[in-house]
Amino acid sequence: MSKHKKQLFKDRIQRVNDAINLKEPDRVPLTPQMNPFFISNQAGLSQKEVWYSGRKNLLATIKICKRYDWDLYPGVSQNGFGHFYDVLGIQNFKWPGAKDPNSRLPDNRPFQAVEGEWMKQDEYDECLDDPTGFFLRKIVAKQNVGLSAFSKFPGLDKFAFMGSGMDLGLFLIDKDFLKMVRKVNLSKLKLLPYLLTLGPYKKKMESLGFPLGGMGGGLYMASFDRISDSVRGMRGTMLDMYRRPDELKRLCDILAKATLRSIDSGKSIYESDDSEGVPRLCFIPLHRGANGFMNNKQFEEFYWPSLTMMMEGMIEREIIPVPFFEGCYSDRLEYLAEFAKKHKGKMVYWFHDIDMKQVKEMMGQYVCIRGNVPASLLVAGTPQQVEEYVRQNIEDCSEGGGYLIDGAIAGIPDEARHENVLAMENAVKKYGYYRK
Amino acid sequence: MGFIDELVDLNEDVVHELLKKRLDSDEDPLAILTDVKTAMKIIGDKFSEREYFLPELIMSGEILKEIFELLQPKLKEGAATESKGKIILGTVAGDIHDIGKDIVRFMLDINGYEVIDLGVDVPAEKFIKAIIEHSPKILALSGFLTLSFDSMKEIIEKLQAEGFRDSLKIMIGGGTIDERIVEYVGADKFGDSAVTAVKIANEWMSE
Repeated sequence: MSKHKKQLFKDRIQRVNDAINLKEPDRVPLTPQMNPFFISNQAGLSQKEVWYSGRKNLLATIKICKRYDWDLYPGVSQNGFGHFYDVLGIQNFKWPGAKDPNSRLPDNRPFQAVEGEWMKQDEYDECLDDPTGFFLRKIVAKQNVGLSAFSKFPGLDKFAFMGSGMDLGLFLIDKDFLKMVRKVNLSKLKLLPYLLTLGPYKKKMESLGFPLGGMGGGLYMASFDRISDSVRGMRGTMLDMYRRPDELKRLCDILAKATLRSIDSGKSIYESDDSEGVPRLCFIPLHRGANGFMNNKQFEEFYWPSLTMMMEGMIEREIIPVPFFEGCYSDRLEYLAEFAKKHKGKMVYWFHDIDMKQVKEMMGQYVCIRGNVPASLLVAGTPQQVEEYVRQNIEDCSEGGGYLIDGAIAGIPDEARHENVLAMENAVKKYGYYRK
Repeated sequence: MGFIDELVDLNEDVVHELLKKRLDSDEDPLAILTDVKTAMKIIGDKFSEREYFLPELIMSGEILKEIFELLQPKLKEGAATESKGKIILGTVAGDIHDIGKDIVRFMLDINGYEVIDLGVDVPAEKFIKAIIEHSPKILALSGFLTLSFDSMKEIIEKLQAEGFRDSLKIMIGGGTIDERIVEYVGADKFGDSAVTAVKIANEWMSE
């Protein structure tokens, strides 16, 4: 890394860390996270190419990022995993170019999650008695047809036994299991070359002075959202609030604790290695906690406890939770402020549809806030409108540090116009300096 | 508490018991249907007033489904109800999100509209076919992803090109939709909630 780039890298990190620590940096940091396909749209790649050729996508990312002067740059995501998804036979996603017609989207469409009721209401007892076994046999095996051999995974009783390895051994030589392993093993020929480019990608970006902030500390979900998205479905989960409330809450707690154990047992593939000083941000996109989805009493009872338990565990592990409050959270601001007060300077709250000035006044002295240039503005607005929005936000939110500029809806939308993204950057440089 | 109150309070078991009693005593099923409608209207009002939220809508829908399973065989055909008008609704091409759309359908439905729900990932051709078949006064387009901006634009342009636009009022809604997008796609209004969708529909129908 050249001396100049090294200094640039250091300055950017310092700026972001100061903001998170509620100190005034030299200027308001600009930290756009990107939706997966902004880069491909800018670089002229089809979305299928992004999904199936991670290497091409990373090269495009480097090229496109050079156009912008930001303080954090995108890390890696699921781009490039297309072949692996095909082998796993994933059923709860649809993506461009999937081999299975049921999962296939046209070549230029972004991937979408497919919610479903994978666990029935009357399966709670079975799930809570042996969660890992249940998830392997009933959820993983059904959601990934390429892993369906796991439906034969032995029950807990077989492990609590004098010959605890016997049934597991028999499972490992079962013909369906062996067939599955052979297939998954073959997929590494396509997956490994991509995985091997991740290290050099990070090195290259850092040599350009670009700190990767995307998901340095991983991507995690609130327990309620995990259950709603991919276990019981939203409808099922909301019926459980009436019919199986205790079981739903128990499963939420189990998943929050499991998340913390996963963090302890090692990094996920999406996480970057620690680079000096780069904050370990953990992105937590929230789905069902927003205003319209439930009332405050329900939020307090079903949504918030396991989420705060998980975030507190992350803070203990020196990870910075970045809950993304998608939608409107105006009804929940008291809860958010109270939690921020307990963990001053240890989190980033990322907002979408909210009065940022009100949020700053309510909790700006306790937590760094992030957001919220609207997607509609970045896609359909003019550079002048973007500049004015950013100027106003800086005026409302930047006092005393604790503010990161980003898009409102998980970063830069796929269809954002280059000149509007540039206008966001220029506005930060024009209005965002605390000192020069 | 009576049947209506129990239903409004979502006391599933009690509602079942009361319904069974009423059916066993050979009460006119249309009277039961009227009570169900009254209860659903109150539930919708509670939703509008932000006393009820999505779990209550879903739970009431579930209880309703169970009521209809018992009631339907006893209802004679032709128990059609008056409708304020037809509305065609759908999530636009490229987007498969349905939560917002379904709440809008529920609220329009209990407020007296006949809603023709075309589902998700609906292309212009499918909207046009439904418009020819049903001649609605209102078209409601839903979209959660940002790609829906261009999708809505394309649909409305096609409606314009094929001469359907002027006879229709078009409302749009979804995660990132705002006033700017109304102009961008060429719609008439946007709603930030299902309650607003009903307000807009009422306003347009009374014009």
